[in-house]
Amino acid sequence: MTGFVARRLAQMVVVLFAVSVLTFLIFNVIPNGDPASRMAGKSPTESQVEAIRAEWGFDESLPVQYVKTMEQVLGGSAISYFTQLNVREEIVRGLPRTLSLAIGAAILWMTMGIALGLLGALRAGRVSDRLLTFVALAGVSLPVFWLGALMAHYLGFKLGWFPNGGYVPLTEDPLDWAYHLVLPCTALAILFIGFYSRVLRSSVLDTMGEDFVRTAHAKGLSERQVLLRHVLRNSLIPIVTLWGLDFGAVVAGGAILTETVFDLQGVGQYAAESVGQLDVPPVLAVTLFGAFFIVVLNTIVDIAYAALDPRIRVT
Amino acid sequence: MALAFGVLFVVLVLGALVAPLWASTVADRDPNRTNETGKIEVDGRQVDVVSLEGVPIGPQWRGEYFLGADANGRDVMVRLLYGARNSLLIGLAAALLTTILATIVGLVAGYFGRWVDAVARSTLDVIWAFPVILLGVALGTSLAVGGLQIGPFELEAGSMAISILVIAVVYVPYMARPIRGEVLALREREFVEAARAQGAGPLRTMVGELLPNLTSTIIVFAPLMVANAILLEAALSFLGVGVVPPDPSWGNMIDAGVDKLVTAPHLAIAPGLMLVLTVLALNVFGDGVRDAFDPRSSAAWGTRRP
Amino acid sequence: MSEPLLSVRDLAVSFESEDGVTRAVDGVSLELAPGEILALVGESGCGKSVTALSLMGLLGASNAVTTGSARYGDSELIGASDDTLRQLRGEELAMVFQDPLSSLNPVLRVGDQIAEQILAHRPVSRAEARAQVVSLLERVEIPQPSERIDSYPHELSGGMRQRVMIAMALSCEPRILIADEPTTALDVTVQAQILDLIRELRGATGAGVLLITHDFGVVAELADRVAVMDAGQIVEQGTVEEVFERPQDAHTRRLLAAVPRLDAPLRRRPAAVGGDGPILALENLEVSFPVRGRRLRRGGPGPVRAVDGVTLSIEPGETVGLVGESGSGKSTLARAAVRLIEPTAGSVSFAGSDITRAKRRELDPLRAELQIVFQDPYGSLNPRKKARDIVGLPLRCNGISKAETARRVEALLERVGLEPAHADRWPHEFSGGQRQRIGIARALALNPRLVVLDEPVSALDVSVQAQILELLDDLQRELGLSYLFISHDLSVVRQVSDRVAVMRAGKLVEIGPVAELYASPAHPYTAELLRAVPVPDPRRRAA
Repeated sequence: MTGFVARRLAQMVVVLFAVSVLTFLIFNVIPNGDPASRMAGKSPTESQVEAIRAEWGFDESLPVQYVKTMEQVLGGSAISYFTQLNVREEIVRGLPRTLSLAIGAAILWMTMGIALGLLGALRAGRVSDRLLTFVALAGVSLPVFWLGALMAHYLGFKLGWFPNGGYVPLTEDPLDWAYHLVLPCTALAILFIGFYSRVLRSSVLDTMGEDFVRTAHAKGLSERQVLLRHVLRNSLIPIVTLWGLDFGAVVAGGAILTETVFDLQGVGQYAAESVGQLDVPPVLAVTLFGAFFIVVLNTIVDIAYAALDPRIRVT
Repeated sequence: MALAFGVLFVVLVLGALVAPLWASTVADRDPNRTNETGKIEVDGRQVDVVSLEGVPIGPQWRGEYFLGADANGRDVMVRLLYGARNSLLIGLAAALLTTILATIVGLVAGYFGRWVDAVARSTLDVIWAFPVILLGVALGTSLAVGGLQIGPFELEAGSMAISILVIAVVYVPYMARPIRGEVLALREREFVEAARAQGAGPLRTMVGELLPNLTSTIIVFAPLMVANAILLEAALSFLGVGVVPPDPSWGNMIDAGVDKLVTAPHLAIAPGLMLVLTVLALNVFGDGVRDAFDPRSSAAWGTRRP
Repeated sequence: MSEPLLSVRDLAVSFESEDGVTRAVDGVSLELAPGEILALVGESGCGKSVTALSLMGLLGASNAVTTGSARYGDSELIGASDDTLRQLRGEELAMVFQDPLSSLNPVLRVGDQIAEQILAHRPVSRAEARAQVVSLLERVEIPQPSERIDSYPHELSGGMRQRVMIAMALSCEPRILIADEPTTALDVTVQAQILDLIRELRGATGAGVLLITHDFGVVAELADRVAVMDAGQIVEQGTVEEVFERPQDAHTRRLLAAVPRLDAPLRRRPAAVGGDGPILALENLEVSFPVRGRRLRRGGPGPVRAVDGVTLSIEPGETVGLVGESGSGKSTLARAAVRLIEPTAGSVSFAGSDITRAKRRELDPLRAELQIVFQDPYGSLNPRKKARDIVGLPLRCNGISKAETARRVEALLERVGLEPAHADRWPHEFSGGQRQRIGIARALALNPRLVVLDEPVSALDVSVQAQILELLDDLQRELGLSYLFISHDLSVVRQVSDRVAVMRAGKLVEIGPVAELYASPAHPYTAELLRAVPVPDPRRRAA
């Protein structure tokens, strides 16, 4: 087991390294602009540009720049090219917002997704199942940013049922915090509810056809017992692993659109703004943070899979 | 029902491609031609296309300005159709590219195994580790600013090809993994051994024996990939890094429309609805395809966006 | 005459689908007395499994229509309510299925799965149930029951899993035990043990056993009465002696005649065509697989030696049979012999030249001489290729033109007993026997001298099996082929071989001329194997 974990950690480091290099290259090699002159604003003088270049180290070779920037990012001292604010602080500030959104949406989509999926599987082939499938497909087809914008406008602005944006920290006012999160969490969750309900439905239907379910019936167990102890238990395994991957992806940046639409000022929004301005340090930091999250969750998912399915442990 | 939607989708696509012709016969030919100061006749009166406060007219439900005008006085319907052409073209091309790349990667990685597989998986892992939207935005932004030169090929900044490339690459891991998984399973089947015993080399085995058995997976994934691609394109355009205004794309139209929800909701609703309907049609079609090929398969599970 | 436990009258099951109505069971009537073992025997598709499942209400398919009557005591099983069935299942009627690996929930411990049944029917505490499970495991002779109780299904061997299934079925002391092909997935020695177990338990509990099987040997060993099924109907019924010695029905007679028997007279085989040395020679062959991956169990073994120093040679024109149980390494040996796998040590020589380390290039011309036919008619043909492309592949790989290939393919299909029109069909349009013929045609395409046959008839019904064996025999005579015939079925091997080799755990334990080996085996393992084979003759039953 330790060998496995050690291997995964090593893999993680390699992947993160590759990600950081790639990000750095994307932003420094491809755009033909000169970051220094971009930062200098409108009609800079030559010496201004030079000064910026020297200060930020743009005159040095790429590998050196990379190492320096990475040092700063990992050390927590990186500063945005544009806002001059410390990147780490910005990320720390945005993290609870992103996490609130992600966790809220995740709980919502898991419970609803499993419930609807189970319902669909039990009523497979009937009208109610077809209807549920259609609703699920619709959910999956809605672009989050459009849905979010419409929700914010009609449910928030027009009808005033919910606030149409902004974030209230949990520590300030828990009720208001939750209140502000209802719309964004729902908007984000709808996509996944559609997806997960269909995955679960598939999984349950597959499991119900397995031989051991027939054995369970042959033992004289009630429908409910068969469903809970055998069918659900086995069909949830792929769901749990998927959930880990999706949750990681959401925190890592999948929440960008929702955060932007609802102006939650989370990590995703920060990332979007920085990327738009080709602001390398925050982008690097956020990308690494995101990749790290995804890779960690990937590993947790693999371990969870082994814990849930004893057959995996031996291979 | 699935086939009905499939047909609907095909109609949409054809409509979008034919759109420019239709537009020219009925309304303003150029989707980008602004008309801020123009006036049109409504119920006998002359009305500003864009009011003095900047509010464009709503849907007229006839001929010119069928769905109204946007803040620059452009015809929303015409832009919608041209936008459809862009979005669908990008979506289809990206999905096609993804399919080709993913099939090749999945086949090669699954068949050869060991170090080839390790390299492929690591590359896929790296791409996958990138938060998808960030990767899309990052590539889109930097390429949008600077363009791209791959050997003799040069892509202009802001061209559609860049969007296609970005979207295609981003989704390769999503499709390559299941294909690789299936190749791994197929590889153990006796008929593959039999082919090797007959003297078939790697290429003949991959193309002759494995590929025909992958077609059902590929066909099932294809509509989903198109749907994914269209949604991602819309998301990227919404964030400003896909199709760049003034060229219309459903995504950037929504972006422009969101600001004006109060005064002119049709600006955001129209493109959004088109987007939803198209993607829904694709999903229902894909679902139908999946049912037709293997009602019990868990291979394809609908569109998702990370 | 005591009252029958189970009384079935005119049972009929039909399935509705878009292709029409299929009558799987078409008017079956039988009776099961207490303490008796009734065997329901027939080939695949005859409806025996469907009969058994319908009695327990386990058909599961929503498009099944069941009519008729099956009375158990006061209850009518056909059309019974879910509640009634639930009470009866496990408590009065229990079932053991064919494949214990897929019939047990892979993520739950076996002890929990047995306890679950007890707890569903008896008002006992968890601790009491667990104690009962331990004694059940003891009764079915599972070693170290108090430890095994916490094992997962995949951690147990096939035989042990089936014992667990039996323990589970018996946990509430049912009056009727239905066993659906309980030993088909097991090795012959394990099968013998399980059959003994069933017999002994029947004696101890007085339960009635409905035994579903396709194996006449098993029937002869175990059954008191026999019902033979064909196309959904019972064509013959009687005591086991009656059916075996004086079969009335033509179908029964045909089946019995096709069953290969250990005590049948050996056919005179023409002397093998002598030549210049053996056509295939294996010398101290070793094939090892490295074991990788994380292991949570302690003391992981080193590399697995699938083939451990085997020396074997085949003379031109002869058939060497290779027998062994699962895990003996015979399949690995087969693949190493045709160089699908590279041996880790030792040598393989074909017609005098050493091909052990030959690269792909060098092996290509060899492919023409040395071919292989696989076991699984369903897996060995690419489902997405037509018969002509499957058979034609070796020809195309060798640069033969399309036109010539087409011609030869037709000739090959005819030679194996198919028609040229079959060339354009897909694998799923053929029966198991026909698919195996296609596999043989494919192997013959390049006129090989030696054909390795890896369990070529094991997946086929006994009547089809006889036809294929006859085909192979004809081809050998006509083309002067040499065969390496691998199988776990000793009776079949005896019928086709000149010499027989016995493998166990990667080693060759005995090799010799077929008559001698079977009459007086030198090695105790061979003797054990031969003893375990169920003989389709009720007079020769083990006591």
